[in-house]
Amino acid sequence: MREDGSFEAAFDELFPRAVRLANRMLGDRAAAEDVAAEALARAYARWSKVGGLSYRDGWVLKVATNLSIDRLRRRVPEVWPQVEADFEDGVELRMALNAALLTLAPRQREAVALRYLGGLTDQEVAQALGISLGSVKTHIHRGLKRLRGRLGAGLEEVTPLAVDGIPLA
Amino acid sequence: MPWTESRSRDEWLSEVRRRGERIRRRRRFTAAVAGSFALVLPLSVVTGYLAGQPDRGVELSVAGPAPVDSVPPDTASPQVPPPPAPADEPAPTTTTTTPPGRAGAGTVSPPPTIPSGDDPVVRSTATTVPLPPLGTSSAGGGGLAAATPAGSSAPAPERCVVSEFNVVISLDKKVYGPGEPVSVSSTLEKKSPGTCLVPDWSLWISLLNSAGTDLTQDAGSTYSSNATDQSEKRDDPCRAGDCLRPVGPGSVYTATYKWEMIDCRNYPTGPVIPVPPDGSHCRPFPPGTYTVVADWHGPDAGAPARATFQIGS
Repeated sequence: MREDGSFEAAFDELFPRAVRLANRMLGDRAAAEDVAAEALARAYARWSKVGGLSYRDGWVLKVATNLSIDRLRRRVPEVWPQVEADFEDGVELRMALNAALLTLAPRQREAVALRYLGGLTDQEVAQALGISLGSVKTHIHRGLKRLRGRLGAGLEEVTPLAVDGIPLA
Repeated sequence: MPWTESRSRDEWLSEVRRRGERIRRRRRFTAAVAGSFALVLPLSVVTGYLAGQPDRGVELSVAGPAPVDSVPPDTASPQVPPPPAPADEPAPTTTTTTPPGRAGAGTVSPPPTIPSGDDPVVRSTATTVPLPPLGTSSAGGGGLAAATPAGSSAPAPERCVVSEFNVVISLDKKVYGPGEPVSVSSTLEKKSPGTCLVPDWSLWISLLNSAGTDLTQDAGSTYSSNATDQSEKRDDPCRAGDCLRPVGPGSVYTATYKWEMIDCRNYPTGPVIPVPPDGSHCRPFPPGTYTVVADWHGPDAGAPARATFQIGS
């Protein structure tokens, strides 16, 4: 079936991308694979429409982002690192980053995650979210500002300027 | 291709297809149940009514004039229900109407002429409504307009235009004490009668100090809105330019913020110390004039609206 053939091709490209995005948010490979499978399944269920979209990739990654966020909400309450937390520990840093992501407004969170964790361009993010390019840049600017504020001014002293691709300095 | 260690590529593809088919079946079942319910409910209403009329024979005719004693037909025209009212909309004490086009921001002028409700498409001017005494509501500002029923044989609604809408900013007070929380809501309100198709518009609120510095992310905020991400709510995904929904007069979108008005930007210096979770490094925002800006986002959206408040000493 032609429809199924096109889905297979998209699956080969999108499943690994969705796993990578979810893994960067969740830090749990098994959970990331499950999220990616669910995102692709939802696309498959609507493939007659989703498959023809110009922003198909963004649609799938956006679903993966929101599923990952749902898991983060259920799994981790907003816990800030202790005063003596070691930000050289990548695990603690990811925990702090995930907790900070949850404090963003929904569109900011989606924009930042799709842009830096999903690897989409600003234009692709705009298409996936159905908003203007200017709005994407506004959301990302505000989202990053809040993340930097949440994670502390001293962060850049011990960490690279970016974490998982998200610029924090 | 770097597939996972847990399953092969074909196994994952089969899993995805299996889940996708389950989603399709669930949607078909839901649609079938909803359709059956829509058929059964009117019949049960009719049957129940007739059951309460024991002396009356039932004659339902498909065509021709209805019998004199038959069930009165439903004469209500299909109407677009007015949007639901915002749940906890405060009595507005500060309102600002948005200009029709993308006029320069920060325009302040003498008190406005409140648009007439009889004018279906009103071009409001850039204004700042003078703050009324505390506890009273401003004239012609926020709140829902009365819904105007659509004509029974009205043509398909057209796409909404910016001039049919107001952006109303409402604050719970005019003057606040240092560190006192500020509750603000911004409502996109359709002021013209009739129905039109609104795209995926939303409002994003910012807080500026007297120097124009954006303090939004530093004010410690909680945020909620009744925004509908139409691309997620619909079965067929759509983008903002394509997601259109019919709206009548009244509120079509509300965003609510509560700012704690404490400045937590001055983080401790020295060795790496994350933000103290107890907020002990935070200070109340200083006295002065602050501006709330409601940015109107979405395709062909209008200009932002502004309102001001004071923090007293």
